[in-house]
Amino acid sequence: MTAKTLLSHSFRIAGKDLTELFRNRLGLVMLVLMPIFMMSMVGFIYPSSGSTVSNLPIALVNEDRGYWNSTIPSQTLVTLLQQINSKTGMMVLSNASRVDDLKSLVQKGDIDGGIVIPGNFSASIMNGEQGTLIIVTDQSNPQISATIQAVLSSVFDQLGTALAQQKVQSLNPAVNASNSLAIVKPYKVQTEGVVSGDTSYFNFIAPGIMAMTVMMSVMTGLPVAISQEKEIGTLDGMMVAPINRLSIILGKTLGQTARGLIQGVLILVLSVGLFGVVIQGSIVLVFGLLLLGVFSFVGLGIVITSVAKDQETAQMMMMTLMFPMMFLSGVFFPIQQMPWYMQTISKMLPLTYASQALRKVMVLGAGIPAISAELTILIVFGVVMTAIALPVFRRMMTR
Amino acid sequence: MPQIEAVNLSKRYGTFAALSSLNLRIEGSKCVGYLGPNGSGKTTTLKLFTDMIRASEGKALINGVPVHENKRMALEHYGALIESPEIYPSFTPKEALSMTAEIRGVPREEGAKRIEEAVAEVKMEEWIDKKVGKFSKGMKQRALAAALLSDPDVVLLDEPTTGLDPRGMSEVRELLSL
Repeated sequence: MTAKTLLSHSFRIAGKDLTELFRNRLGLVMLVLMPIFMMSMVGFIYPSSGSTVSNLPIALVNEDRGYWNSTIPSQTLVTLLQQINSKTGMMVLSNASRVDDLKSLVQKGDIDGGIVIPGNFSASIMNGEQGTLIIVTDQSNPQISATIQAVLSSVFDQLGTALAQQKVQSLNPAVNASNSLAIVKPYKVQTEGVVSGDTSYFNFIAPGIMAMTVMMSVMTGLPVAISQEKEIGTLDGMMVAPINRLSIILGKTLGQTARGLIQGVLILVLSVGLFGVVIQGSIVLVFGLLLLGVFSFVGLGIVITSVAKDQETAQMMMMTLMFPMMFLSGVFFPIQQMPWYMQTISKMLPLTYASQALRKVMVLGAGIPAISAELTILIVFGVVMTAIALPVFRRMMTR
Repeated sequence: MPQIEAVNLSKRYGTFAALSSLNLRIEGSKCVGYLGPNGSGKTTTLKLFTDMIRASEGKALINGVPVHENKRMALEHYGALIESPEIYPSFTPKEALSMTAEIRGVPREEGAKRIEEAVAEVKMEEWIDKKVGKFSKGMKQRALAAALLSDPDVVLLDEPTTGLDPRGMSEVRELLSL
């Protein structure tokens, strides 16, 4: 059999699979809806621009007893706090009379946290000591708790700086606002990325979701493409035709690749068009990586489908593999946050490298040299899995 | 002259022998019945002749060509209905037959002509552009039979009338006598 015939048969089989896909209206709708839902959810929850923190319900308890009947420091603090909040809209501030009331409101879920100005606040400030402010957080929600801590710490830092500047200027009228800031804060930190623009969680997650969707598409599509055909008997028709087994496997692979790419492209279009993701690198490289991602998952998918007795078992095996991959491959959380042993597992998964490479290209504008390690791993993984898949699939077809 | 031959053909699944040392040679234009009780290895034999399963020992040859070693050449002028094959439900008989013709390397124009003839033989002209998923079992058998009418030298059928009503059975027998 010539290579031309082999390829022509493969294209025919891939064409057949795609025709079936396009004629299955509900299946097609789901194929399109799945990436739309996924990206819409993530995109609207974690927008790529603007503040992600707003309208946090926070209660304020002012227990300041003052210093010789003067509560100027705490009043100034509250006024400045309200001024900053009216500009940023980060908090919805309310008042509580006691710390216990504040804690009770947190327990009920009416507020996300609180600020307590202790009784000795003004006295400490007036006596030239450091005043203490207490931030009360909701420990049942670590993410919000961390956000509130960060937001309030930043607000109090600004307040502290403003007060210190005032003090410096009052001590020496020759010092202007700019000089007083340099005295209070001799260093300022300037953060710069590799490319221009701000980053966001959506920019981090979009490339990972693209790689993950391609993986899911291939891993869920293969059991249908192979096991289902085996079960309903259509594969038998193909088996008795004068067609090479390699053509069948290649055809199935091409069909699944096209299916995965359709979803990958949809995600890409949604990310760019609807959620403002900017692709810093080459779009061709993004497509190339999506293709490579498909290639690396197809071999694994074929092995599983071949080993499984029926479609149900194949799907269960796929799900069992897919879920840990989704969470361990750094799609949703950076793998650096994981303990070392989980990071070791993560480094064995192709999805880690596919999402990492896509992220580097899309967010950092990396070229081929910068992702050569990921490319090599994906190619090697794909080649090894395909080399295992071919004999396993042939064996499955002629048990 | 068409010929099929089994040389010491055996198939074992672990310790279970599904077929033991079959030696068989059939040649010439004839209709041959291959009979035996359940579990005697009839379907296994046919599967070995279509390379659906691998022989544990021996060889299956069609027109002198070993099926497993050179499947494409052996099955080029060959048609088979083994167990209960199905046609893709979202396809029409015309599309399914075109695909078969294409895989068998029949030129497009000749393929179209042959499909037309085969569909007329099985009296399915009205159904040629309807989706197979809506067909009854008898209709599917007819569509499958049409695939066999593309002038093969050898046709292997495994209980082709199973599940059909008397009328369907009679139609399949009629087709076989063509």
